[in-house]
Amino acid sequence: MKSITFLLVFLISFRFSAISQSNLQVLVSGGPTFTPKIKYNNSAGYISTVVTGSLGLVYRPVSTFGFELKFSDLSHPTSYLKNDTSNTVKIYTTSQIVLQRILAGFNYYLPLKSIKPFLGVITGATYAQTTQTAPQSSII
Amino acid sequence: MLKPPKLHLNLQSFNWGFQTGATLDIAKSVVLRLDACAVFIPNVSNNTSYFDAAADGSGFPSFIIGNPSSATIIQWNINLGLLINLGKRNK
Repeated sequence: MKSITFLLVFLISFRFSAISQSNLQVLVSGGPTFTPKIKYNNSAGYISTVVTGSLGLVYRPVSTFGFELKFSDLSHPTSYLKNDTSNTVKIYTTSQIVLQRILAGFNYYLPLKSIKPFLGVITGATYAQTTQTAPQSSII
Repeated sequence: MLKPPKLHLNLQSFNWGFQTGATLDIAKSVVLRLDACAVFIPNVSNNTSYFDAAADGSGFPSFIIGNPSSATIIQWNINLGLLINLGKRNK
C-alpha cells in the first residue's frame, strides 16, 4: 500500500512537472456570433446576432500543433420562426434563449516567425434553453 | 388569442466546426489571438427550445406551420482574445 501511494505521488508530481514545462495557455476571448437564416419546411428560423464570450485552455506539445478546450456563452439571443403567410408564427415562437457550448479540438499552426496562422477542427455540444417569452401584451 | 403557457425546457445538441485565425506574441507571456469559427449544429428541429417550444413539442404552432421539421443551424463567430502562457513556451 505504501509503495503504491509513493508511486502515485511520484507519477502525479512528474505529470505536474511535465505540464508546467509545456506550453499551456489560458484563452479569454470575445466577439460577435452571426446566425444565417435557418431553412425549415414552411418556416424560417432566426437567431439574433449577439456577443459571445469564451474561456478555454490551449495545450501545445509542439509549436505547430495544439489541443484546445473552450466554453462559450452567447449573451441571450432572441430567436423566432417566421413564415410568409402569418405573422402569428413569430409571436408564438419569439423568446430569449440561453445558448452555451463546450468545444474541444485541435489546431495546426503554420511555422512562421511573428504572426502564426492556424487552422483547426472542433467538436462538442450546444445547450439551449428558453429564458423569456414574448410579453403577453404583444400577443394578438 | 391567448398564448398558451409553455414549459421552458432545454436541449443539448451535438455540434462540430472549423476555425482559423492567427496569433501574435505581444509580450513574454501574452499572445494576441484573432479567430473565426463556423459551428454546425445538425438536425435541430423547429419544435424545440431554440424556438420557444417545450421538449414534448407543446407551444409549437403546428396549426399554422404544419408538421415540425429539422435543419442544420450554422453559426459564424469572430473572436478577439488573449492567450496567457502558463508554462515554458515552444519556439
